[in-house]
Amino acid sequence: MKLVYIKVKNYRQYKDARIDFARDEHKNVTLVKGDNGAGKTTFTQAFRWCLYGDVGFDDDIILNADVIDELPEDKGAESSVEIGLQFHDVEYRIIRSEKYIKTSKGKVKLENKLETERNKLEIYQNEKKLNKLDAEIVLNEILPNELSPYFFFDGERMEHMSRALMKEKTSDEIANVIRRVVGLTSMDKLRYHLKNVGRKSVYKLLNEEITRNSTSELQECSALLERKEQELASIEDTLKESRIMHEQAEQEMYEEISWLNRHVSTAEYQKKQTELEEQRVEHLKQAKNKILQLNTCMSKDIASGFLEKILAEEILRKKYWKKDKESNSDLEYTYLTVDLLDEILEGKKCICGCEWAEDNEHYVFLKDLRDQMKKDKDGLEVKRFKRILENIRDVKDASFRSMQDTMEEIDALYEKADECERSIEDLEEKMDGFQGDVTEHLKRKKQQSDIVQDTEQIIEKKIEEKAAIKATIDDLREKKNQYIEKDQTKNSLLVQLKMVEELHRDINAAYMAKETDIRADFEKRLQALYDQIYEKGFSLQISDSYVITEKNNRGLSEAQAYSIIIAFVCTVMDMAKNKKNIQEAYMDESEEYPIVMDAPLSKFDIDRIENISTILPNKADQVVIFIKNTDGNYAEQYMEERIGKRYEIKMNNGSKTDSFIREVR
Amino acid sequence: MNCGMSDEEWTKKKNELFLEMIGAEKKNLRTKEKNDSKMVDQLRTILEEVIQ
Repeated sequence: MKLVYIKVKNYRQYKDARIDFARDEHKNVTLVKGDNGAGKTTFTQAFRWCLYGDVGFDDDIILNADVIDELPEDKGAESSVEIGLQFHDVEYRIIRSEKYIKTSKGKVKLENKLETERNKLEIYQNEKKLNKLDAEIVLNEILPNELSPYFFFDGERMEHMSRALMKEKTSDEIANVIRRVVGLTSMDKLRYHLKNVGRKSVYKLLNEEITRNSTSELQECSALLERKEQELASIEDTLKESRIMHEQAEQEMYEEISWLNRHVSTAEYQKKQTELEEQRVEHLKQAKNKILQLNTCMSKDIASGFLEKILAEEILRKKYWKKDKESNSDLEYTYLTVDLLDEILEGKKCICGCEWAEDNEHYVFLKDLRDQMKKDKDGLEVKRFKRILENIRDVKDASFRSMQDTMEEIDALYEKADECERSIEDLEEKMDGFQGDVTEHLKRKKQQSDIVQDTEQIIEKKIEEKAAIKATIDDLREKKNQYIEKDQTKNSLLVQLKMVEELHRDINAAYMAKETDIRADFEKRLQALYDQIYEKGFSLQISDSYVITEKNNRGLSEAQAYSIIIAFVCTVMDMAKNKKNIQEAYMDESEEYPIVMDAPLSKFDIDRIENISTILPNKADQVVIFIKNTDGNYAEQYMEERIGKRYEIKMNNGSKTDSFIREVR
Repeated sequence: MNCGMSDEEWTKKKNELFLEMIGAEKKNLRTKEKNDSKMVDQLRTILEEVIQ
């Protein structure tokens, strides 16, 4: 299929515009440049509206706003898009139009309110107008609607595909496109129509005919066989679901394992960090307890005994002791006399020089001591008093030492806490701002691993059940055939049934084999194109359920997802082109298609724009690119040799309701 | 057990049936016919014609 031209009239911001497309094999690119808002997207959507009636805009009225303003009341006007194309050497003109009328109140409404008939489709085949039914058939043959999103796509479409890719969604749409492009759709349909579960099929019709008017044994056997076949189908459904669930869980589990492996150091760092934090808190807690202990000690031992200690120390400095000349004691003074105490007390001065008030506890202490000495006529034995004093000093010294130790311990604890904090900071540096939560990933890995184990058990159990029920079904079939063989009138039906079963089995096996081959081929081509567009070393794979993923589960960036889309579209075209050379009976006819893209390059850097600009014209028969001026300049530079036609879209005097297109030579 | 047919005849019939049926499916795909029930009836008729 080749696009020849597109004409739009009173369509959105265009009053009358036309683009003739480049069709030369070597110059197959039509480049249309325009600023934002000039109307590039309108044009790409005009293709889909003309071919399928898809509006693509929120606003339902497609009639040009200026035309609406100028339209007299009670008068009508028409919007239309016409596409000229060649298909199998036949010229086609496809015209879709929509009529509007302005009411007496100045409002514009559709002339035909019925949704199904709101617009008119006309198709001319070599200038001969086709009737409505033929027109629809021909249109479906030229480009089926389900394929069109891959050949006429705009930014919104790419965004949608990109999101699906990044979420790694199963895509029936992708599977259908691949089947359709490589021509397996008819085969898929045939196997479904021959035999399926629960729906009308040739196999089911034959069975109904066989059991109708047959013996009660045959009827019973058939009914039982049908029940068993339904049971088998249900088991197969569960098996299929479990396998999908198993595959998905296994994939997610490996993703988590892969993530955890990639962040194994981080995981260790996070664990160590948690431990260090706990240690730090513990050290601080202990330090706090020690401080409390110290406070208690201060108030109990120091505050109450501090002065006594000073006094004892001072007295023990021997200043007031008389030397016991008769003994060999090393003490200079042996006795403390009442006179000496009187002297101290009367001087009203402490031995340290501070003045004493009479209610001072130490004054009282000495006074009591002196009184005691007076009472005890022999005087107090100084050695005994000294021992008392020494005891006081020692006890207080022990308290001091204990307090000193406690303070050292507190210092050590604070030092340890600081050390933990420094280590935590070091680890944070190593993790370099990493935000992930390892625990969460471990939890998810565990969940998926549980699902994998559960589904494994289910699969195992269902396989056993399936084998058992299959054996029963085989027996019942054998029995049923015997009953039918007895009834000569059913013989022809039995032959047909056998033929259908065999054909279904053959087609099914061939289809599965072909699909596997095609998926592998598609994956290979997709990879090669992706390597050319984006970069090497990023392995793509297509799963059984047609999910495109990266083999090492590294996740996709936006630019990578867009690169995959471009690679995907190019692969589809590549496969279609390749398919043309393979003529096999089971395959549908296939066709090459042009590619029409709206601003596809905004997400890429210059290198990638160059890659895409080189690949697209080689893979597609015909390329039509609507592009904004900045990206367009690069594309123009890299596609220079392949550009056959160039256009630019302009706004007439900056008006958003009046754009025009002109060819640039 | 090929209902009186030789293996060769049986395979020939099967191929013939396949080509007829896939042809009908391809035509159906082109003509945008989405009615599965009608298609099954059509295939049933093809089967009867080919086998008889």
